[in-house]
Amino acid sequence: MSKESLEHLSSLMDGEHSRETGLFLARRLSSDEEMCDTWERYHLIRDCIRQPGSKQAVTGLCAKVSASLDAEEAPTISTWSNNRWLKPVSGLAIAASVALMAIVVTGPQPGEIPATGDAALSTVANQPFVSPNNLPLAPVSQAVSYTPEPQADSNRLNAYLLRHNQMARTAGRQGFVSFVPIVATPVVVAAENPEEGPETTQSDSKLEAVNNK
Amino acid sequence: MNGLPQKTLLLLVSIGISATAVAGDSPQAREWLERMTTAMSQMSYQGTFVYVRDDVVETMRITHVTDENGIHERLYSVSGPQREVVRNKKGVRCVLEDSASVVEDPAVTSSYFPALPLSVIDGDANGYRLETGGRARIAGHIAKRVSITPVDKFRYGYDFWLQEKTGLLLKWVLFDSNHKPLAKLMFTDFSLGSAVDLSELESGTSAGDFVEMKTLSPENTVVTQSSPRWQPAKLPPGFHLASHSHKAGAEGVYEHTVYSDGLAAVSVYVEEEGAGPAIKPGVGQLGTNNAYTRHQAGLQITVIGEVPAVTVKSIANEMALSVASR
Repeated sequence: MSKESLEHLSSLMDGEHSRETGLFLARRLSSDEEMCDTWERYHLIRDCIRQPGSKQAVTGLCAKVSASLDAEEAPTISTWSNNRWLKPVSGLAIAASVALMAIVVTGPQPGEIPATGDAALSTVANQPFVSPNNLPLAPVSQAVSYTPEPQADSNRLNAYLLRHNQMARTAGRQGFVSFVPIVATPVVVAAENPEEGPETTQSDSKLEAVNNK
Repeated sequence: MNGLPQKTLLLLVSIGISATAVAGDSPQAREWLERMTTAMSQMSYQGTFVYVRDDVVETMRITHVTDENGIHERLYSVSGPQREVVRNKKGVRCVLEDSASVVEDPAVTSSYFPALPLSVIDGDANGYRLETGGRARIAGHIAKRVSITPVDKFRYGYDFWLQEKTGLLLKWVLFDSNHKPLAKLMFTDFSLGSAVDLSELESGTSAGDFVEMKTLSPENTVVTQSSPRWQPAKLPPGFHLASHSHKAGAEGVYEHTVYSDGLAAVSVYVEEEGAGPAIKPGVGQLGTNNAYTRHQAGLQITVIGEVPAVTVKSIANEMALSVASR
């Protein structure tokens, strides 16, 4: 594999590519087994660095992406069927989207406890593609998981926070740090039953899970 | 003397020494925090930093310039979707590429209430313990650590690593009352004064590229010294009213109050339902900020701040129309 391709993969992992480039690379991942293997290896290395002792492997991506593509390429009847030139384009877009979704769905599922110990090694080949890390290509995954309502919530909360940061005058003001959450993190609005409001937030729970690993 | 009393004696002596060290550290810690507050607002600086939260690492860049026209500041994400906050004397403008929106808030007078001095936050009765200790080299600069530890579950703690020469913040760690880290920020490169590239203050986005949100905070809000109509029957220990503003005129309801313990601050927004986009009731999050919304008597009450969820929730649930306003 060329050095350039390796650099592209590395950038994809760091979320430095545009969405279009990401889609293009996802398409390549679906057809280039060597590239796909490298991608999986990169993940394994990163997971080991971030979580020493973890033996959870990222495997089977190529097979999943190929399966998605195979499914997409099956002939279907649609109003687009007469536009033959559109077929490859739409197929690429959908398959690439599926591939990217496979790539970006990397966080541990709720309640999931990462396997540890030798037992994990023996079953690693049967494990689905799940990485304990979140990739910074988050916006793509948000597109499938966010609804318009939370967006309205988040804009409102953003406005509240902007005003809050202007009004709050406390002794230990840390300047720009107050605005970092707006720039850094796509808003997560986890509306919960107010009658049963938790003592710890969703994030607290997540962090607890991360720290307990 | 047998072994046990000797150990006990040693333990008591060491406790005494550490208590003295902490108590003795407090004035020094306050002094460092005052230096930080001044430096962060009055100096010109620029740098790249990494922000880590929820196992996600993001890179951002800050340019902060202070001149005769006040503060000019631009904070933006280097990787991922383009998100930036531009702050100057006109107010704050926030551009979020991933939601294709711009949110703006005009400059406001912050408060008629005096800022709480740092002395009010120090001590078990006031919510935090302050201490200094440790030196490190961060982004090529020698930094001193100032630690602020919460004494209860109603507030978060901070570790500040401040440049020894100027007091500017080089590393920041937010942690909860169990000292569990919630977020970290650390500069990887840093420049000061004339080395700051002013061209980076220019926004990389045009409002025309996005669906511009109307200013969500109502116009004609006035800051006042009067007591809020809506206020919590009780507050978490150490919190006091720090600011109060409301919409001028009799039409509609909009009231914004800020409560602070001297370090953490919590905003309470009371608005008529339907006056703006509705927020689902319950707990929400904006990065390290927690929010809690409830609807009551045709009003939407939202409490938001960089405090634990239990704090915003307890304040929201205590909100009631003041006796004088009934």
